[in-house]
Amino acid sequence: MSAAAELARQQALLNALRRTTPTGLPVAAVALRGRVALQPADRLAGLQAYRANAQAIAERALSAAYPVLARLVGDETMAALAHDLWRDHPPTRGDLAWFGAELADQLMAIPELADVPYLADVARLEWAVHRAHTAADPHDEQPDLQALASEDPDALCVRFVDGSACAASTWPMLTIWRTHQVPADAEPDLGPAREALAAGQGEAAWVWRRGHRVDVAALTPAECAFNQDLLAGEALGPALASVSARHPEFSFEQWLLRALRDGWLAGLQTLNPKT
Amino acid sequence: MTTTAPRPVPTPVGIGWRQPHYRELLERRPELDFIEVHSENFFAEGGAALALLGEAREHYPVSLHGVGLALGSAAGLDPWHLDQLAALVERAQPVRVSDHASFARVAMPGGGPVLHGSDLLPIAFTDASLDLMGAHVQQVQERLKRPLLVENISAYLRWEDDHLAEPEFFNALARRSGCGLLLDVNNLVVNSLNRGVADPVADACAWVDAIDAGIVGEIHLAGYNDEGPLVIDDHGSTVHLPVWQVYRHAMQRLGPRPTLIEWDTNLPPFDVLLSEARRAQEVAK
Repeated sequence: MSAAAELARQQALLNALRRTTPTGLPVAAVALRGRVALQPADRLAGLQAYRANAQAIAERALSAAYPVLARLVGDETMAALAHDLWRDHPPTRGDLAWFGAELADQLMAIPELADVPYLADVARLEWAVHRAHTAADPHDEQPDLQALASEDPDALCVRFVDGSACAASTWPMLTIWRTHQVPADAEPDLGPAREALAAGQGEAAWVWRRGHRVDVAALTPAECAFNQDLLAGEALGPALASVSARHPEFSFEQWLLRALRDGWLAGLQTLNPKT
Repeated sequence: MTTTAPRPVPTPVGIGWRQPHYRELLERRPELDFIEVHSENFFAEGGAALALLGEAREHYPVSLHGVGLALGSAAGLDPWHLDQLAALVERAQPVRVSDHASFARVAMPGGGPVLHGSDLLPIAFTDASLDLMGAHVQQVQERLKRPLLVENISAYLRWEDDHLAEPEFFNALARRSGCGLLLDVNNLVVNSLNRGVADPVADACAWVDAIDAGIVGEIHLAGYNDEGPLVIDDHGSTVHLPVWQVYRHAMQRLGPRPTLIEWDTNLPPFDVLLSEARRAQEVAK
């Protein structure tokens, strides 16, 4: 047996386990004859054991990353979502904390969920929170902002603390998320979320790390637009011009006060620094 | 002249430290010889979990047990995974580092990303598989600058062309790479039960007898689920009697080895876990 044969063997088993049609595993059990040293029924039982474990792992990983969504849709729906996501976007890393990044897009592609369009945005917010949990710890000291006074804003980029993310929705995504920040055995008060949904209220949220904690706060539309530009790597000057054009009420001074007070900033970076 | 019999060396016993018990362990600080965590749960640049691990290290030796390296994968190791593990080892300074004799990473025909099966899929016990495992174990050890323990798994399928006995495979792997064996007694019993042998305890004990005693660096004990067509290694209950029986035999043959109570699903109250650890200490005497 060569390394190539080992590769073919491993491909054959994973391929078998990825067959998700009703006939998939029974057919795979037959196809693996000559490779697997068991009777057909035992081959099938073995495949089913691995499949069941994969499903359980996928459900656990998804529910850990999306606890609010799990409460919103229930265990059975989460199990079905985990099944489909495993089929369509299988893990590529041995750390399952990375499994499930595509869930929001997957939700949007399900026509039956058109009546609950906010689910995908809640999922996006949850994924941002999930990823922020393992981001690098922010430094305790205040960021050095001296360059604001001396450098051309067109050549100055704002660096947020690691794990920072912006989520925007035409639905009250943040209110729904906050409503569900209660212990697992407590019933959330859905009143505020229902009112916000009835009002058709869109929301934006900022996710960032404060110490070991992940914080989530509401952003105004102007702050959201500005932060998104900065997160995308836009220099301060163009980002300011853009937000001012779209949101004349935006005040950079007020934004800066808030950013400093809440610990959003890691520092500044000068593009093409003078030599 | 009188001689004093040497005092028996106690068996170090630890527990798997899982998220629902993070706080309770640190608040109660029960007497344990070590704790073990899943490496991948701490693949992070920062955050609360990593901070808790740092806190735990102040009170207990920590061993890192991985489930995702996929050492037997013909597609090779994931450099990202190895980077994460190396960073964690550097940070946590564990007493032991381990993973499994299994595969998971597969480059599917037709291209695309290498997939990870996220399971402990069964390797073949062939020379080619031994070559792969040996090379990957050495790669990990060179990166981590320390020996690795490799665990025997529960396998729900066996390959037609297996021609090495499993203990023979591990003996050869250890000789070749310098790694040790993480002997999972529960997995031995699960495999014996699933093979339908007449005496699963005797079968598992024979496995223990066939292994080079010097390579066993740690022992795992766990519960299994025998309610379905196959016995499943689910780590979701107390250790079953046959596993205790094989463990007693292993202790008699091998002498004291660090022993872990693993419990990963349907986690019980913390005291149940501690009670299982005390039982392991008793059985090992």
